[in-house]
Formats: sequence, C-alpha cells, structure tokens
Amino acid sequence: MGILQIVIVLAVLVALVKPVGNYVYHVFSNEPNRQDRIFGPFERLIYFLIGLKSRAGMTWKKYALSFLLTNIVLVAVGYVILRVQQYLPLNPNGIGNMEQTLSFNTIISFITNTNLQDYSGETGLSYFSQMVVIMMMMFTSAATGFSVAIAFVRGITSKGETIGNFFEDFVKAHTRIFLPASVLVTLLLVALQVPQTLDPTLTVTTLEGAVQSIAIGPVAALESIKHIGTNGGGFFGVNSAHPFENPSPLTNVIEILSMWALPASLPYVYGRFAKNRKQGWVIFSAMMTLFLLFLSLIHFSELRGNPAINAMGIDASQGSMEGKEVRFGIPQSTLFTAVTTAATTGTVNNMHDTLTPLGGLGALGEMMLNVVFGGKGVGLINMLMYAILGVFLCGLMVGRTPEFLGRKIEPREMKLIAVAILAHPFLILVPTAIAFMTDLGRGAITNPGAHGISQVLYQYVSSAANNGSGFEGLADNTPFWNISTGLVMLFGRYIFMIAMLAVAGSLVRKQWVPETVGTFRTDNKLFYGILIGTVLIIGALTFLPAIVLGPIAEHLKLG
Amino acid sequence: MLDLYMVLMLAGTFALFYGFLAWCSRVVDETGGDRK
Repeated sequence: MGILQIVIVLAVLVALVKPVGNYVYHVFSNEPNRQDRIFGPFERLIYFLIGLKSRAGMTWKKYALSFLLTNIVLVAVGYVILRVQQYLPLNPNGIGNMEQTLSFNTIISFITNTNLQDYSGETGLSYFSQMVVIMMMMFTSAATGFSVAIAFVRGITSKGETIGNFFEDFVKAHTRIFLPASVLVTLLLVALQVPQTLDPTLTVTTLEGAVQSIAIGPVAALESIKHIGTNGGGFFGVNSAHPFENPSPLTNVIEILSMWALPASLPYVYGRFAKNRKQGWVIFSAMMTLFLLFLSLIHFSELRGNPAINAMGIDASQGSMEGKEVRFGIPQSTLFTAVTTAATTGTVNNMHDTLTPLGGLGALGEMMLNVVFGGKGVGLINMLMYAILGVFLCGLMVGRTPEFLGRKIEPREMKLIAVAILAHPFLILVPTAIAFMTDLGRGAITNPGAHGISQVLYQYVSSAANNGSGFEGLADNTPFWNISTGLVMLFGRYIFMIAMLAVAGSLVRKQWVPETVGTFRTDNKLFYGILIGTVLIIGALTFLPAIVLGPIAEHLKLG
Repeated sequence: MLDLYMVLMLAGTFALFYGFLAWCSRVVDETGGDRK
C-alpha cells in the first residue's frame, strides 16, 4: 500500500511534465500566443511602472549584471525591514527586531532560494516581515532562478549575441507562472483547512484548565509559494510537519507536486527550445533514475527501522517512526524527504535529524549531486553542465573535438564549467572542516560521534545546494553559523549562475557545426548512461570520504 | 556597529561577484576557437 501511494504520485508527476512544460515554453519562447491576451495588459503596466522601455535581448554580461543588481536591491530592502520590524505595522504579537547576524543569514537565505531558517517563524517574524520580506523573496528568488535557467537554455540552443531580456523574463515568471499557480494552490490549501488570517496568536484554555497559545497567521499564502518556488521556509518552526501547514495526506501530496512539477518539466522545456524533444527526455530520464535510486535508499532504510530501537523490543512493524508524523507514515514521509532534497526545496514534513543513517545519506546525496531535478532552474542548468562535461570527456576518449548541440566545446567553456563544478564541494568541505577545527563550530554539535559529523556536513551541503533543510539538532543560531552558512549560500548561488551564464554567452556566439555520422549524439540511451555515470563519478570523487566519516560510519556502528 | 559589519560583508561579497563576472568575461573573450 505504501509503495502504491508513491507510484500514484510519481504517475501524476510524469503526466504533468508535458502540459506544464508546454505552458512554460510558451511563456518564455517570446512567440505570440494565447497567453498574451490574458497577461499582456498587466505586464505592459508593470513594464511602464518599472520604466522598462526596451525589451531587447541582452548579452550574457548584461543579463548577469541585471539579475545581480536586482538581487542587491532586494537584499538591502529586506535587511532594513527585518532590523526595524517592531516599528512597522502588522505586528499584533509585538515581535521585536531581528538580531543583526540572524538578519544577515535570513536575508541571504531567502534571496538565494535556500530558506535555511535559524529562527522560528511564529516567534521571530511579524506578519509584515512574513509577507513583505519572506513571501516576496520566495517569488523573486524563484523567478530569478527560472529566468537564468531559461537564459542558459536560450544560449545553448540558439545563435546570435543575446540570451533574452532579464527584466522581461523576471516579470513573466511572476505574472504567468508563480502568481497564478500560487493563487490556485493557496485556495486549494484554504479549502483543506490551512489557516489564512491576520488575527493574532490565539490564547485558549485546554480541557485540563491550562492556558495555551496557538500561533496562526497568513499560512496558506506562504505555504503555496514556499513549495511552488522550491523555497522551503515554513511559517512555523517545524515547517510542513505542523498540522496548520500540512494537515492531511492530501495536502502532503499537493505540496509534493507543487514543488516537483516545475523542476521536472524544465527538461521538456529545454527539449522544445533545442527543437529535439528527445534531448529533454534524456535529461528527464537521467534525473528520474537518480531520484528513484535515492528514494529507494531513503524509503527502505526508514522502513527497515532503527536496529538499535528494534533490538529494544519496541514494535518496529511501521518502520522508523521517530521524528515522523503518524498522519503521513513512512511512505508519505520518505517521498517528501526525497522530493524536498531533490528539488532543493528544503521544506520538511519529518525531522531529518532523526532519519536512519542511510536515510540521511539519501537526503545528503541528492543535495551533494544537486542535479536530481534541482531547484527552480538551477537543477536543469547543473544537469546540462554535466552533459557538456560528459560530451567533453567522450570527445577526449575518441580524440575528436567535442560538440554539444552543434557547437564546439573548447577550453574556455570547460574552464568555466570546472569552476562551477568545483565550487560546490569546495563550499561544503572547507567550511565543514573549519567548523570541526573551531570551538565555535563544535559547540553547536548536540550529538557527538559520527552523527555530529553528519549534522555539520548536512548544514553546509544544504546551504551550498540552496536547499535550506537541516539536521535541526544542530544549535545553529549563533553568529558563527549565521555568518558562515550565509556566505556559503551566497557563493553557492551566484558563482555558479554567473559562470553558467558566461558559458551560455560563449556558446550562443559560436558557429554551428553541421551534424555528421561522426557526431556524438546526446539524445540516445548511450548518452543517458554516460550522463548518469559522469554525475555519480564526480559526486563520489568529491564527497565519498566525507560521507564515510558521517552517515556510513554511523550506519556501521548501529549494526 | 554590528549592522555596519553585516552591510559591509554583503557589499563586499557582491563586489566579489562583480569581480568574478569580469573574470568570466575575460575567459569568454579569449582568442582562438571558431568565433565568427
């Protein structure tokens, strides 16, 4: 029955890929279509208000600068609001200003689509901050990632000098994708008992006569964009495990599909831009294969239970239910964990810190690879980066200049791709080592031994992959963790995006090479295998020593 | 004072990204290859 639940959700997801992909393609293809009649007038008003007179295409450099400057302005405004929130309206619970290093961490966390939360929403943020900073950035960070992904796809599939107009892409991502989808999912969630109110925290008397405070607020609106934008930051500290965020198995499935449908449809969008849908399906198949691999690891590890607890004679027939919600059980919890770390959303409906060692390894692995569907846009760019690397390696093996989609891959592209690939493990392993070497880092570990290593490793993996979930046993609301994870999130997001836009800018200007019988094809089963192999080999070479010290050592100790 | 440090750190990091963008630009414009 558990497996059947998972299979049904997977089937619905696969059925959504083509219609959602077609819709997204029409949003960004810039060809006249039926959507223009609905959204055109609204968008033209926005262009007028922001003073966008020309929607001409931009070079990769102008595109990168535009998204960087837009993000800088959003960071500045958001930081100020968090620091003065107690003086602003919509603060019925009288919440004070956020501390400086926590504001630094929070603002970076949301602008980078990470949503790592070192605070608890119901006690750390006013309603104004929740809506104007947190929810606003959930839209803008997702739209930024989506725009950059589309620009990258244009760069590798078209010719000319330009890769689109950032401001036009950014506005369209909001008006045609994230806003309509969020309204729809918000209404669905409200209908399924998720609260949406500006009333202050409720104070009630329980049946036993005790007085209890029950936090409420504009939960449904945040919950929808939290998942649709693969953001992951919850209204409440316990995120989607909270019954007001995720009251039933049905809302659980809606949240899973909300965070999964857009990243899963992007390979299809890429196939349409490349005018060869098989290219897209090869990428999708590679992502899905890796996903099923990690889902199986997580699911069967949790189903098997914790050997140490099983040995105590406690009923283990339901699997390892420690830290999980009874209303979801193992299948709905493990699927949620696999999807949230694959799509780098970071929303959680169970306590990841209490996953079995191999279950935790599955979650870690998906974020380390960062290509298993991935977050808004960046997962596709990452996978295409590995595709170019795979083509390059095959070219070296047969002594032929590698070509990808009719363009030669040369040292300059490989230099940029090497920087982007190496930045990810560097941003994880170096800060992890520093944390272990300093009292400030070690002081946060609440579970000494191999699991403590996993706690620290998970925090930096989650930050670098812009995921945002955590092994929350780590006592991480300190200046050391706020600043170090903040910097890792920033570098993990922007270094990669800038480098890949540069690759797109380099490829878009190149002459097309006519296809011959000797051309290495990238739309068949052989390339599907090469792509998965490339991802797994690079991942193992960079992360295997770290995971041996953490989750694997812990698993072996458990017996 | 701590606010100033945080703002400087943010500004410095974004300045680094601008520097990285400039480096990428130099790499992309390297001579050689089959540029038109």
